Amino acid sequence: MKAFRTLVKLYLDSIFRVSVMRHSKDSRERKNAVMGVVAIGLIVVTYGGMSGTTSYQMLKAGVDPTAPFLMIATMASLFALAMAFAQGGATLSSFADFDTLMGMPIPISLIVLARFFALYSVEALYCAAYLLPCGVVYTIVCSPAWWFWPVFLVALLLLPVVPVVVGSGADLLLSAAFAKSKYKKGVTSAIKMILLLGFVVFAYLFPQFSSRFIAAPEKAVSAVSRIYPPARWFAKGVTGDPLLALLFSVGSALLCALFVLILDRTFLWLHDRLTAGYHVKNYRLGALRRSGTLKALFRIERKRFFGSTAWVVNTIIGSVLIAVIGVAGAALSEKVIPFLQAVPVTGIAPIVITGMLIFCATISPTTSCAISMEGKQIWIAKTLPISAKKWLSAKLLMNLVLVGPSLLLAITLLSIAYRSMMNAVDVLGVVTMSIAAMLFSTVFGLYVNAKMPRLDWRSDTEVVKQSGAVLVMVLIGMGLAAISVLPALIFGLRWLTSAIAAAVFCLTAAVYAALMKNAEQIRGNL
Amino acid sequence: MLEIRNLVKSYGSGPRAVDGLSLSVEAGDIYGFIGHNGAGKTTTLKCISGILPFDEGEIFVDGIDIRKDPMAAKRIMRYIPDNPDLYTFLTGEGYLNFLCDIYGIDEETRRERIQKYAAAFEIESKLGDLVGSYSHGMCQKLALIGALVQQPKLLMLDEPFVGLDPKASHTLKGIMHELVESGSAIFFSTHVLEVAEKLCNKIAIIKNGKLIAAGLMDEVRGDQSLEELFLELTDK
Repeated sequence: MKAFRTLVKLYLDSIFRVSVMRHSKDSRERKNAVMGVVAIGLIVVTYGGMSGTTSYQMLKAGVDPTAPFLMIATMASLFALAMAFAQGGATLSSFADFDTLMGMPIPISLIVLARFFALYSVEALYCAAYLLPCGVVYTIVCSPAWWFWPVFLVALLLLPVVPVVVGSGADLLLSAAFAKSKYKKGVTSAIKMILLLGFVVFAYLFPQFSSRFIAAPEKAVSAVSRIYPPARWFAKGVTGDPLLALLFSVGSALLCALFVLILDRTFLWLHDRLTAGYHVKNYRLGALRRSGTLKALFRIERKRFFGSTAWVVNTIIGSVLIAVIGVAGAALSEKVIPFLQAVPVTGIAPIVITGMLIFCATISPTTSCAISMEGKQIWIAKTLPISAKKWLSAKLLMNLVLVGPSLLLAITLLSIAYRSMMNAVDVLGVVTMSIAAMLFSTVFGLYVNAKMPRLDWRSDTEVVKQSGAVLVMVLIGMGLAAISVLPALIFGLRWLTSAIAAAVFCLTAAVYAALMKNAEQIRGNL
Repeated sequence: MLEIRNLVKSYGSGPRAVDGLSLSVEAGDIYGFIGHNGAGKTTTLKCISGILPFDEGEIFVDGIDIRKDPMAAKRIMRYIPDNPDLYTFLTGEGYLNFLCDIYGIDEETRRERIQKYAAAFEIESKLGDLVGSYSHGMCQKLALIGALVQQPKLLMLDEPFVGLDPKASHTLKGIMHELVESGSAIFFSTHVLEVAEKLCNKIAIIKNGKLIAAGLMDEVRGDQSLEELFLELTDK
């Protein structure tokens, strides 16, 4: 039991960096660790606020109490599924300290159980963030029976088990299937991205579901239940059928035990297969083409980016969504325009277009972890005769190349498709604000990462999904999308978006100047 | 080629990791740098190579002050750490080509040098594989090739023989001689005193951040073996 506790603590420490906070002599490193935890806390509060508000609105409108639990449990489970799918393999099998742990007198089953528990506990935190406010609101509004809280808490604890088992199991199988393929990274990244895209689309539709529940509760319950049936068992169980909740909990626990048992039996084989490299047969030195410094640095950034499945899945989704919004929005404009015309807001089309494009373009810039991704290889960038400005510029360029083309495509298509609802000022607002927001998130992402670097990671997931800079930029992306459109929405002044864009351009220029001025110092301090 | 004057480096508020160290490495030198674990060898090498800032003192590489013009100094020197973490997402060829781009080496020269050193270290057939699939020794060889293709005026190596097989160690020693004969200098740390004794013409011994002996191997060592001298000085 002591070994189990130690192993779980070890993994959680790599995420929450408690040891760094307590023992590091470097005050900057300590501050970064604290900021990382604060950012996680803010994300948790944001999720909680969102689910609490939605639950309150639904219950106050007289919707069946099952509905908010069903909707939020589905959301939380899909989130856990996506996260487990994105990082399950790396956490459960091909982790960095595998050799060290395997050399210790610890049973494999304990290592497996500890890794699984650690992965599960992070997802359980997010599930609790989603569902606890819903439980509190339900208690206040509906005054449930005495057994609600004990049953709810047990079921809540077991809710992430199924998605974590399914997600990480699928990731392990997928990684094992393509382990020896030259295109391993490409195939796994593409499949993971498709799943994440599905999750993002569902998350986007999330607010719409609450109004559907109010308008047509039975239809909506049936539709959401089909997405993820265990969420329905959970919701029905905690709100009126404790036996069903008990069955759900026992079923989840049994599935977990079975998964751990299978993993225990296949652990060494899986690790062996997952860490197998691709080897070129009959290799001969190819053409060694010469290129300039910035191009060479950019190539390194590109290869580093596409070499990390976690990074690709986490960031390219914004760019893909922009392209999807652009193409789908233009193709379906004839159906969307009457819907938008029914909204009694001046200039609604540019507001909606700008808001959606900015949200996708800014939520996860590659720059927010571009410095951290250097990891222990940072000595190369520090010892080569490369100016720090060029080094940082290559990182900025990477995000612009990734987001820029799809953003320009979407702006062009949507401006043409919705021209009947937009005048020249509106188009100017869409163009300038979208570009300004993309530039700002690119530059500010790098600035935040420079302030909160994390180079001591063992798995890229620690940086891409859990580092403070990335989480801060998620919040800033949301804030920027709101700031960009809310004034125009509230005051109805069509030129206001362009004015905000001008301010964002100025702010971006100031941050860029600060970044370039202190470039050598930033790199030197790493 | 390398002039260090009164180098002082501390980590935070801790004791001085390097305390007033001064030494000079001339062109043609193979300069060994020895000391016990934590004596300050790696810190010194990292300060010279620009990885770590230092508190006091001056470092000149071929007359260039590395604080005033670090880019010019980095163009003529190379540093290989004891455990080189290379770009695992690149192939060996990709990594070497990247370095050649940074140092502006023309296509013909880079091809010629890569072929020469890859053959010497026997990793030609592995250059098409991802660095992530390399063993520690292969990473060490690739890092060395990456430094050698540049033909640096000053080559700094931290424990270069750790992880290398006997044949590769022998090859490296030959290449080190070849490099200094062409006018470069090598400054390297090691714990293998027998290697230092046979390979180096100059030696420096560091203890608790302070230089306790430095100069020509024969003069520093006197009638003793390097091992005897090292134990005598460091046990005091």
